[in-house]
Amino acid sequence: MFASVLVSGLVLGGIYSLVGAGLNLIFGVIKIINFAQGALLMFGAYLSYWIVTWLGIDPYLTLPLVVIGMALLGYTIQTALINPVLKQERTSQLLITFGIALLIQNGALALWGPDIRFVKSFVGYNTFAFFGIRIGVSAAIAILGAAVIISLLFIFLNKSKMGTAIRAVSQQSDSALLAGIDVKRVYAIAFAIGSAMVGVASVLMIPIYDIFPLMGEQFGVIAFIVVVLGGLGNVQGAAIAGVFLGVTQNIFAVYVSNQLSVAVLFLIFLITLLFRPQGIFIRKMRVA
Amino acid sequence: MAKDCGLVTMTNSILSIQSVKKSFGGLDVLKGINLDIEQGKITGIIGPNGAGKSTLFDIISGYQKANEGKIIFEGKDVSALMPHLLARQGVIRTFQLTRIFRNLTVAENLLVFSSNSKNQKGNSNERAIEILEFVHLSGLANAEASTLSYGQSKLLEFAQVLMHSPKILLLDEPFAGINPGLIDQMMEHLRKLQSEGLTIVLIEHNLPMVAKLCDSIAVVSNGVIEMHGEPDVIVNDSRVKEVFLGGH
Amino acid sequence: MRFPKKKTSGEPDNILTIPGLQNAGWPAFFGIAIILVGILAFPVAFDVRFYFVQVGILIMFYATLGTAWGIVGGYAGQHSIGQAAFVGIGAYTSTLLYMKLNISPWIGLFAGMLLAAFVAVIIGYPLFRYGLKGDYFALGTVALGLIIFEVTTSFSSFTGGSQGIPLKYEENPLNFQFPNRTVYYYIIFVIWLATVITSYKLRRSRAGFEMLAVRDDEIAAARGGISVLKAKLTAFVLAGVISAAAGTFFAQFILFLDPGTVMSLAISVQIILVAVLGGMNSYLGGTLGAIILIPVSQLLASTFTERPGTDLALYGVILIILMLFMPNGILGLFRKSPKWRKIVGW
Repeated sequence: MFASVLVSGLVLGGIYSLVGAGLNLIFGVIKIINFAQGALLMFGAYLSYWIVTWLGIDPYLTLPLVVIGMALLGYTIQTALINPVLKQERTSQLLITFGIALLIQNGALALWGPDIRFVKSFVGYNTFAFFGIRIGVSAAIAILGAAVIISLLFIFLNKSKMGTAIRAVSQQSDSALLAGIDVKRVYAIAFAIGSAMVGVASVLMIPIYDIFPLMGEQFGVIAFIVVVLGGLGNVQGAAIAGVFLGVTQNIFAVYVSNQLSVAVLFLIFLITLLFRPQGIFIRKMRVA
Repeated sequence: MAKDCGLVTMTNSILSIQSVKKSFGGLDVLKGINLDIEQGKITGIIGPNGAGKSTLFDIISGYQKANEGKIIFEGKDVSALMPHLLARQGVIRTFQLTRIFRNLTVAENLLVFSSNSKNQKGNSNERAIEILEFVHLSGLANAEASTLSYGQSKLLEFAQVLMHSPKILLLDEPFAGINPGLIDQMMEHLRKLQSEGLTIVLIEHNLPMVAKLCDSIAVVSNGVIEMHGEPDVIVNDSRVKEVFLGGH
Repeated sequence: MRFPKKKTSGEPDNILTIPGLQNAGWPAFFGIAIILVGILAFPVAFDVRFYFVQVGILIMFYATLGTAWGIVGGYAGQHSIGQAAFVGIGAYTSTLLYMKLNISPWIGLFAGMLLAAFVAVIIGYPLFRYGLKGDYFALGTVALGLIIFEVTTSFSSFTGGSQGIPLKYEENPLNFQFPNRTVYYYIIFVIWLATVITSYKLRRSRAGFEMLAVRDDEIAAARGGISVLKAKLTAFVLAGVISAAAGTFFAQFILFLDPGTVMSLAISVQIILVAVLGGMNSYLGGTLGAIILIPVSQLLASTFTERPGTDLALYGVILIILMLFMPNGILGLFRKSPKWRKIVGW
């Protein structure tokens, strides 16, 4: 019994890691709070759903289309909406992603209604035995998929030319600019990748979870906890943090209280914000 | 490794920096700064870029905490104080990149800092007006600070620091980007203030200017004070000449 | 430190213009007087249907909340996203005291404000103390809002959970309940006016200047002796306290309380939108935003009943457009003109 709680915790954790790593990228590079991350997850899920409905293919097969679609969406959002306000005071950036989140989430609600939808993949509800534990195939795919994508992201950031440019911009955007890097374009690519990762997460998720307009809300906020807990710019940290949070939440939900399981995460969040000694606290100047 | 060139008699040291060390990550920026600032005098701090001059100012004014060492101001250990508390003690500094309140008017930029005691409200308006005239910004009193030119905003920052009646003024490259006529005016103001008892420490790259203005010069290099002495001596030192070659 | 004194003609120098209505002259005074009288007379003058009085109440309610948000978000520059949490704190505190302990909501009003101040300090102090980048404060308030929402929903035996609490109906003015519903209009009018005056006076006070300085450049503010922590905390507490008072009022007005009504994210969004639309840096911003937005939202609610979420989606669009083209709100368009600054107060 505990094993199955652990497994579903790992699935949840995998999703958190993916969404969180994507947010980490956006936050770390562009230095904005992307309130729309959860809404993008929901959008990816609906995108996959509609493709499945119209083309009749298996949800997992929608992956390439969803990834491309989400990447394009992310690129567009950054270029059209966020780049223009980057020079303005912090308000605009914060509130504009908030506005985007509102639009996507409630637009979905208004257009497609609050009804819960779901898809079924070819693997159905099959399970298999793994060292004596029953694991759903879709769960295993989700966990493995998350692990693979996060590893790919890590390799990309460290070994590829664009990845290096992204890291350069995230550390010192002024120097990167002087070095000839097109910072705005890097921003857009970072947002695109962040969105694409969310797209992957949504595809991995929907054979297991229900689809409804508010599905992303929880993930969007928890993604921030992943970022804060895992450390800014730290992909491995995001992965570990995501898994930790997913497992913790699930254990708490099953053994203590389902309602409060999310609140517990927020509590961890506040505590982390207050006591985490490095990463977000390294400021150039102390003021308060 | 601090060498003493020329004779600088410390009659009255208002600020004493003792063995201050500071590193960021793995980088040692300040490796042991020892410096006494004499009260009522103008001290210049020069050194190559990245030598840690601004960091030193940060530490003196409380924006950074030294890893080791102490800052003694007027006989008190102020190393741990927050910036606003140091400011209230009379330690006022400017920044390399001019910092003013862009969304407030020029007048409000000064009024923000009117004296902390409540019964001086009337006086603070007067004082602000006086200072605005002093820096020739009276005509722009009600303009939003974001509309000022670079030189004007530097003057505004200068006016702000004057509002505080500081005891010691730390100026970080106050003349950068200002036209020479204005520089002369500002130097006049500084000398006038000094004659009324203000201690001034300034970071500058322009060697001849520093030599003209300062009573003593300290050279920061490699994270320590390499030399500290009278301008004639410092300026004519061969190593200094080599590094600075006539200034910025 | 003395400066060469310029000989004046004996008149006090008038080159400094701090936003202040007293410099605005008689036309402004008359205008304000007429508007205030108009608001006061509105419910009784033309035999209006109570529906419109109710809209007026809603406008002033959100105007109060928007103006309060302007203090922490506009003056101090700290964008509190979960501000509805304080509305909820106020509403639930007074209601629970009333329902469980029979304490009059008038007293509960102050209890709620006190609790709100307490929460604001508890949350704000650590968030501001370590000088986290302003964004983390925003996140912290989101977390706060969600935690309070979840906690209220979960402890249902105590708080009535998501089903809410209907308030005891005792038509007793001592219990903040009035048989003539129009009285509520005048109560919120007083609350609203008090808030606007507070915001106005704050803008011109030392504390207000310090908040503005902190907003514009914390580092420069500290250099001048301003305690950044104190400025931010003061703003946050003040905004929270006002929001709590409004929350108590609202609970007493609609006589029903559930988390969705007083502390949902939708409410926080509406507060922010009201403040930002009007112009968050002006003491009149929240009011202007409410006057425009509340009737619009009422219209949307009645038109798109089959399509829930349309209003919030539209808010999203408005927010995006505002941020792209008018980040300082409507009143912000006037901020370059010194004459308008006097009245609008930037």
